[in-house]
Amino acid sequence: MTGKINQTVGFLLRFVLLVVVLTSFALSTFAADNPTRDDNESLDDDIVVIVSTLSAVKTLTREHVEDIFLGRAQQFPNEQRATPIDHAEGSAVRERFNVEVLGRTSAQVRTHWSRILFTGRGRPPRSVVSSANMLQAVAADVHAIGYIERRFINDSVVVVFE
Amino acid sequence: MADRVIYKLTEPLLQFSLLTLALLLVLWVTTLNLIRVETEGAEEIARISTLDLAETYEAQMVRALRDIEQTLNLVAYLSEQGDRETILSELSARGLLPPDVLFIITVFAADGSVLVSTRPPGTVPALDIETLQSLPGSDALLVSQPRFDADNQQWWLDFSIVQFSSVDAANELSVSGAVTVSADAEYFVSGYDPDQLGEQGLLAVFGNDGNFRVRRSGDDTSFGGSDTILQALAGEDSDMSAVSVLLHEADGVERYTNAREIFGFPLRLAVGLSLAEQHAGLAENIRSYLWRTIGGSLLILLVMGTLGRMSSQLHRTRAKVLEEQIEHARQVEYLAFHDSLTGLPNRSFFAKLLHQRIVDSRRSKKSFGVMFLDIDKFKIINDTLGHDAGDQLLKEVAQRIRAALRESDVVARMGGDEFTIILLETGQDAQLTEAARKILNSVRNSYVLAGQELRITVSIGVSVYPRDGEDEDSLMKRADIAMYHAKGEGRNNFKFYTDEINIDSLERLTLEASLRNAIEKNQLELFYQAKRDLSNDKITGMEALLRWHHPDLGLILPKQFIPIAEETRLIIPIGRWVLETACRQSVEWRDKGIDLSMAVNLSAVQFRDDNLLRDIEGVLEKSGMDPRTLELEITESMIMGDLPKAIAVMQGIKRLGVRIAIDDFGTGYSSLSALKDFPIDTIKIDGSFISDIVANKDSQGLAAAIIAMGRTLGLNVIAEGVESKDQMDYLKSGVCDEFQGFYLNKPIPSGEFEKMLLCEPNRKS
Repeated sequence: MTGKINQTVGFLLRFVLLVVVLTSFALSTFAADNPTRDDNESLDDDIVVIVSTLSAVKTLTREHVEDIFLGRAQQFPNEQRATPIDHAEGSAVRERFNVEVLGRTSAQVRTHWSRILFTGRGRPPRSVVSSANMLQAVAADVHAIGYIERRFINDSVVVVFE
Repeated sequence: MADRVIYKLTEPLLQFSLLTLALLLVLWVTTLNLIRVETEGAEEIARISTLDLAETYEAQMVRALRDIEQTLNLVAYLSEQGDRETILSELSARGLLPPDVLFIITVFAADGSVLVSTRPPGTVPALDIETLQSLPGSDALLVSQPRFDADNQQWWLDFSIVQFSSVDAANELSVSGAVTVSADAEYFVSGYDPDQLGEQGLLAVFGNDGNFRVRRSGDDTSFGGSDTILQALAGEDSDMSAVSVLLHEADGVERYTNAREIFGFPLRLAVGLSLAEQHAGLAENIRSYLWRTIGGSLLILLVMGTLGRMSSQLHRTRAKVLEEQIEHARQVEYLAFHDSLTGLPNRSFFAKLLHQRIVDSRRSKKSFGVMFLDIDKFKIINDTLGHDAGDQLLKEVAQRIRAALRESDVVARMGGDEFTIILLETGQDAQLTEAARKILNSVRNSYVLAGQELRITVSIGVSVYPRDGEDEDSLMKRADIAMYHAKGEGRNNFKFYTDEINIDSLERLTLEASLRNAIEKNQLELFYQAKRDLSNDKITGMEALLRWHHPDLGLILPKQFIPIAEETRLIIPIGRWVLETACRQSVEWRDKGIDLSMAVNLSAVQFRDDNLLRDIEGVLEKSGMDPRTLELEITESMIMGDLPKAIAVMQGIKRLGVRIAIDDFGTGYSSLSALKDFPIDTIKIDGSFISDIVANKDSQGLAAAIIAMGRTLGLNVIAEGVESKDQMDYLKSGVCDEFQGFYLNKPIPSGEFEKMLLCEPNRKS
């Protein structure tokens, strides 16, 4: 008799604990989402991913961008060759791109390419020293894909991810 | 001792213990061997893996370094050819520089200041070319110690080429600048794959100076520093394929380590695999083997223990059964060799003992005595008191004999009332005599059997080894003969064997054998002795006397063979024959007009025989004898044994009309007062009184008294053994009625007696 009561109480306690855990998890997810929504205020500073207007690619998901810039994919989803172009190491826009788009610190990205390069499985994207160079390089190459702060966009490139 | 050990080996407990030990030994040896083989295998695999990884790492390093070298050469070449300021941007635009994420390319002026770099100005420090030149190693490619870049929180390795140019006619070279490729130090250990190297593996790059450039173990990367072990490895041209197990100072981890030079570069590399990690699976395996083995051992112990215990129980049960069988066999043997009644050795055991004694004595040249002992008249005791009493008596006698002798003497029961004795080391007759006396005295004491007090005597015959015989048979026979002789000389006696005795005994044995056939062979004959009236010498009657015509020994008198006949109970048929023959003779003579009384002797055995009255009656009927003319003679001693029974028998005889005479009167101890109760007709005064009667006043008086008593009781009185005229004359003066004896009345055969009767005028008719 006592055993049954104990079981019941044990089950109830576990259930309550589960509810608490689930609730807190949901709240934290919701809380984490909030800052991204706040970004709309500084739209000009946003980093956008661009391709040449010659390219058939119109839009990309974050995953596509990640894959291409981390050397995991050599093609766009439409099976066209993709040539990523980076900003110079140490530049602020590259730092922001790493963090905001790739979701990695620069050190993580460096470590990532370090291993790939050392083991001979790939090369990091070549880099350009300025946003003007970036626009130029992307616009000229149907395969190219780069990134830039929104405010520098002109009509030689198309934003495929923002 | 060895037998004992072998016997022990059959014990299941020991067998199972040994088997268990053997099984455990095999199990553990197998397991340990397996562990050894696996350990060796694991070590081998670790060494091969280390070498494989080292080779791969070497290939990667060489490629990385060649790339750097190529870049340096390219930049150096172009910088000497063209405008130094624009080289890098041109090369970069063409994608001919290594990726800037990991590399910085810088061109320095002769004073070490930065001319141009892939990184913004100010972020790359000036180069100390002189110090660089002083570095040992290749003069083409110089490798710096790791350099920390605080701005980027990053470590760099600088690969530099110093450029020279000839400035004067003497062709002396002077430094014109330098080109450097700075590589992210981590780059060189970024190939660390935890899947292959584990968490404690090692990738390291170090200079020929033994100093680390970069070193990685797991996620832990360090720069600079030194390791004495690696220094030692760096110092020698080590075998590239040598894998040694080393304890690394830096983190205290033991590793399979391979270190090798990178061909063409002033660098070396080291690859290490943690001993603990490489053996982790092995340790797991070993642990599981050990557990399984322990489990197996316990199982073996359990099974073997159970089996052993069951087997041991079975063994014990078997042993118990075996013991019981042995005990049973022992008992059977005991019964086979011992007399069940007295517990003494039996005949066959005695034969063995005697044989052994003879063998021993022959060797030791000593003598010993053998006794043959027989209870006198045991048959009578058995017949009168019953077999239980007889058995009781035998037991008692056995005990007394045993007690009278030494422990070392052997007492055995031959069967019946016969005992045999071996007296050890009694060469002297005196000793044997003493022993025999002791037995006689001890046995003579009274017994209480079936509520009655009783005395018995025994007769003993003695033979001595080797004087009387050197084999069992003769010793036994001669002791037996001596015993019979002792009996013959009046019982309660012992007798040593002598050759004379032997002859007597032979005679006796012969008699006994031939007596059995005496009746059939018609060897018995009755003689008749006349009884005469003392007053007128007329024949009043006769006594039938038995004679035996032995084919070899001639005429044999009753006193020589009657004892044998009594012992063998041959007296019964013989007595019946005597009675029959006497009666037939009497009737024959009566028919011839001689009508006289006929006296026939009864032996003691006959008198006790239950068939006596029936036999007498039968004979009377068969012969037609007038009972009144028959007189049966019995002795005093026969009556005295069992008085009431004797009187009953006598009364029975009287009822048949037969007369009764007391023979040998005066020699027994019959109470005179009892005499009047006896249904007797005649007393016969013993010859011993008569022989002295003339000279001896006492005998005269006794004879007179007996005669007077007989008269008073109205009995017929006969004097026996009258051998002279003097005796007869004296008796005539007395009051005796009749007489018998050799004087005038020798026993004679029937034919002669008939003649004598017919000649004498005293026929009653």
